[in-house]
Amino acid sequence: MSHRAPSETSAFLLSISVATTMTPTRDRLAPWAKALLTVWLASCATYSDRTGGALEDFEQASFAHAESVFADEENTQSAFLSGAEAGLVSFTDGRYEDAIHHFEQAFVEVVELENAALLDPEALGREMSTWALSEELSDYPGEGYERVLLHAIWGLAYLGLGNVEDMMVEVRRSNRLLAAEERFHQSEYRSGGLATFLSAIGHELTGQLDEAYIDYKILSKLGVAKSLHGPSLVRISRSIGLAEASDQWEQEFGPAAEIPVGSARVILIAGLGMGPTKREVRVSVATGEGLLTAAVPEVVRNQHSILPVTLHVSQHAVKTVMLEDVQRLATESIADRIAWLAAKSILRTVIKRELRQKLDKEIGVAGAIIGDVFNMATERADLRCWSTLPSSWAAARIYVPGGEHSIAVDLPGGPPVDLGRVILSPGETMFVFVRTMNHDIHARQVGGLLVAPPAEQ
Amino acid sequence: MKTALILSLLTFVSCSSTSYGDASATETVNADWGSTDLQTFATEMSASLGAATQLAFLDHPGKDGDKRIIVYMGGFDNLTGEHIDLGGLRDKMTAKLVGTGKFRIVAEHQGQGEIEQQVRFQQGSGRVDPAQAKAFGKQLGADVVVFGSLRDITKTKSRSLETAGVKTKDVFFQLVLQCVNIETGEILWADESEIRKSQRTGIFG
Repeated sequence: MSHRAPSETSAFLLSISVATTMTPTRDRLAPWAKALLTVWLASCATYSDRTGGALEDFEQASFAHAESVFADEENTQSAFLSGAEAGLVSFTDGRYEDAIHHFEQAFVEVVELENAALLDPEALGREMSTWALSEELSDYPGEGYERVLLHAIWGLAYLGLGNVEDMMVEVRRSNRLLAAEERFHQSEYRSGGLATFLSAIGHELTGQLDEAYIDYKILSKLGVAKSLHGPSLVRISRSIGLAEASDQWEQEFGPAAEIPVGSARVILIAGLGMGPTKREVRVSVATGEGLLTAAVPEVVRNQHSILPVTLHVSQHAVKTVMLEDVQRLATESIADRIAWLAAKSILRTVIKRELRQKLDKEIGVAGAIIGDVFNMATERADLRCWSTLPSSWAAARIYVPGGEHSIAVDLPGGPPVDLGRVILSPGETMFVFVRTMNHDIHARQVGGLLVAPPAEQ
Repeated sequence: MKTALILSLLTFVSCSSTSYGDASATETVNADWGSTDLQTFATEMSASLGAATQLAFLDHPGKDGDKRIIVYMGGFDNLTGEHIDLGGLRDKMTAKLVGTGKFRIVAEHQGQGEIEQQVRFQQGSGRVDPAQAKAFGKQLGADVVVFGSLRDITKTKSRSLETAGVKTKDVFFQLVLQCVNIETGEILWADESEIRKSQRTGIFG
């Protein structure tokens, strides 16, 4: 839970109103002090101010330090963000058990917030604060798309441990949450590509080809990763005896290349670039009764490189294709809530104008100035977001003969990152998890018998 | 008097305590998978399997006088949206089936590992009387394998004016098990058990 004490802050604000109304002349200094203190309390640093250093550490591959800063709720002031950010840092660093632990913390926070009593004094105080002071004083349970992605990435962490059954649990949670979000907002997000692809892999690994077929059909409906779902639909429909469907898929995607007996496959799953951030859009209007300031968040697309990654397995190579556009999801998520956020901001401004008028009446010009400063300082958009998310999730798949292979990944124009030599058994699936940031690639392999470590880069 | 009463009330409500409870008592903390679900499924399914007349007799020449069915407890797949260790359900069913006296259960993966380690110790350490040292190759061959899966359907209704601020979560668990003749592939027994749970969270939590 958040350690912030917003109920105290809002109580403070209320106490100013009460004090200035009931004892207008007795104690003029107290409202000054209270107002200044309230401004100080409410105008604390934004999320990016508090965690920007950790994000830089993450981008520079100083994973342990970034994880410890993000994991500390004093820095994020959100249990959800602490768990999600620290979890993704651990995942990128290949520490899957730590990642699972952090993701679970984030999930527990969401469940606690959902089950919290509406009439709990602390929760009520926090909610009132968002109406009277600032949106950032609320607990942050994550945007809908962030909660959906939390489960998908949590599933990836289980896959990193070779635990397909628990990966599938997280995939189901992700899909159910997405369906609930779409029902709630009456929107169709064209999302869930990552979780659906993981579901298809899980079903294939457990021999449930009919279920994998449905997953690939969903990917086809989403219109993502054609080079992954197209051949799979052709092959699987044929192997489970859906001759008519197989013909239709073949007409749409062309014939799928035969997979020779004894082949192994390598699947690369990549988080590309850095995800979107939020910035504040602020409108201040000078009126005869003081400044009116409204503030709402806006999604800023990150300018980091989101070039596809190429996977090299011996002399074979394949490029990633997009599964999930995180930037688009973030934009649509805000768009669904923008009217509500703007309405709350305007209402807060009106409440603060009342305060300003009281201060003006009781203290004079100095009071009016304090009121304006208070309004400017406290009226802020909620800029919290899962900052370590990539811009998009992408994947690539390649079938190779079983045996010894060299594995490497690269970005266009960049040097290859060697992952060493591995022995792949016939029928085996090996995974490579990749994260790109700027022009750096961080890659981890899961599966395959490593026979020669990567060459020094 | 009033002060004393308030103080004793405060003392009472602020106390924390630990106590033992009835392990078989119904657990209703929330709608997630719980001990009562485990006990209910294990009891119902082992009773159903134990009562299956089609399993009363599976003979072959190697069985000698003991005609009990030799069972291998296979995989129980978790197809729900919860992280559930179904090994606990399988172990509880194993214990109940052994208790009926109608079945002989062969060791599964974990047991085989323990057996292998012990036989190698008896054969190779030089510490065990050779006359008593056990050898590989004399394990029972299972007649049937029992396996299945647990599924769930979970629906949640969020707080709204329509629900007067009450959040409802409805969970339906379905366990389906099969017992298959290893030699013929015939399904000799199959049964399902269902549990429905509902959790309401009011405005006071």
